[in-house]
Parts: sequence; structure tokens; C-alpha cells
Amino acid sequence: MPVLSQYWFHNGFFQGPFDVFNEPYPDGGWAWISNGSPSAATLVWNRPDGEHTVDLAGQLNTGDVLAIVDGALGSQASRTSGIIAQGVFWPNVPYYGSNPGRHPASMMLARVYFNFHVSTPWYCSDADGNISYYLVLYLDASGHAKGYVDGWSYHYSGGGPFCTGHINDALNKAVPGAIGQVQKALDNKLSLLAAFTFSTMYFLPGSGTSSQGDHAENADTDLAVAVLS
Amino acid sequence: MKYDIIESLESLLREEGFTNLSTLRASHEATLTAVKGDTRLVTHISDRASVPSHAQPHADVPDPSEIAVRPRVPGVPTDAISGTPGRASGSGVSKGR
Repeated sequence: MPVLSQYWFHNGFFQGPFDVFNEPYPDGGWAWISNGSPSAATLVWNRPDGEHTVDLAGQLNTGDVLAIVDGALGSQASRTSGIIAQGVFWPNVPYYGSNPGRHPASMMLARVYFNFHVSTPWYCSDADGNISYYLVLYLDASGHAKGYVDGWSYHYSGGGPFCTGHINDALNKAVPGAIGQVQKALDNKLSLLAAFTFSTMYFLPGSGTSSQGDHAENADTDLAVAVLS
Repeated sequence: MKYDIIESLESLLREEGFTNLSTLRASHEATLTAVKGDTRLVTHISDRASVPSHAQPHADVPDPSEIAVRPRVPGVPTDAISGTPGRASGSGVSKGR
């Protein structure tokens, strides 16, 4: 049964906290949703029958993926959050400036990230930050869902006054060094869809739930990818 | 980065009675710490000329021709000039009934 979904973003389109209300309706029928609380942006989207959604954060917060992340960090840093997902438009990706023509400006990449902590010697402050991998998801010519790691970034605060060089060295080695493992984990997750072919792919903020009624979620901490046959 | 000066400092500090010498080395800096009684000494040297990049594109990615369908973002035209939507609106109807 198709579902009419209306999103109210509190801070901006596809950003931060939002409310979504889902209203199923019969084929050939109609649906309406009354307006919710004040918002910075709204989106109404008709969810066709046959839509399959994949909650990225939900799929990635599994023991095998978390073990890969923890293994890549080693003993030099510790993970302080689960895997978080966010949709980021290409111009907002940190390495956009290195080659703006790499992707269309309207393209959204899936940022998967987690928070970390680095303990330092007594003469430095500890460092806290996050490590991100930017994924490109797409359909290939045969309609299969594919994806690859397009790049990485990290950001942290602390480590001063003398330990940032040591921390940067460790991260500059560990973060790109784990791309192969991240790609393998992504391939494993996408292999669940290998038996199916699709014609359309789109992103939805949050978990992508289509359950009837009101839901409060956050576009900065979860992202769903939807496919249609 | 050459660590000669750190090694010279270590020798000097040992001669002066400092103990618990520890050196944290990175590609562009090194920090030497030592203790003598109530005195804790920290020496930091750096030859860093610029902050290393904290974001990089991955070089080994599929050829763009492999991408047949890019994911859409509801509400965003695929040919949008800017990828950072501001105030915008849109509507449409399909042909026929």
C-alpha cells in the first residue's frame, strides 16, 4: 500500500531533528496530513508500493562492522559511539575543494561516522573527535545496488599543546588504511540485495520508516536509502 | 624530521640527573619529557610547515561509467546548480488521469 510521508525539518532541509508523519492509502485513493509544528523546511514524498528501504545506521551497527572499526583504531584510540549515518550534499563534503567536478553538486553522499577518544600524556589534553567515510551509492547498468568509499575525513579537538602531530600521524595512517575493510563491509551489506534489480534509488532522512503515524528522528544521525524495482 | 637534537638533549638531561625520560615522536615533531625531583621538563620541537590534510578523496574508485543510476534526493532537482538547497519549492502533476 502506498504511503504519503510528510517531513518537518526543525533546522533545515535534510538536517538535524525532524518529525515525519506517514499515512498509508489504498491504490487509487488519497491521503491527507495536517500540518505539524513550525519547521525550517518541509518535504512531502509519496512512497510507492514496492519501496524497499535500508536503514544505514541500523545495518552498520552490527558486531562484524564494529569489530572492523575497533580493530582499525587499535590501542591508540577508542570508539565512543556507534556507527552514525548522515546524508551530505557533495559541496559540503570536506574534500570537495580538492576536485569540485568529481560529482554533481546536487549529489548526496552517505557519510558514515563514529566518535573517538584519544588519551594523551600528562602534558597534553585528551582528544575527542569523529572519523568519517563518505560512500557513493548507485545502481549499475544491470540495476544492482552498488557502493564504494569515495573518501574520508577526521576532525577532533584537544591534543594540545604538543600531541596533535602524533595524533594526526596515527589518524592519517589508520583512517585511509581501513578503506579496504570498510569497502568489504559495505559489499557484504549490499550483497543482501544482490538477488534483486532496481530502477530507482533515493535517500530518505532518518531510518526511512513508513510505519503509520508520527515519528521523531534526526537526519544528522541516520540515513536511509530506498530502492524501487 | 631529524631527531639528533632530541637525542643530544636526552644525553644532556641524563648527565644533569633527570630520569624517566620519554620521547613522543611524530613525523613532524617530537616531545621529550623528563623528571628531576619536583621538576618536570617538557621539550617540544617541530618542523611542521603546514597542517596535514584531514580529508582526502579516495583515488581507487570505480569508473563513473559504471554508475547507471545515481540516488535522488527527494525535493532536489538532479541538475541543481547548488548542492546546498535554500528556500525552494516545487510541484507537479502527471499527464493523463
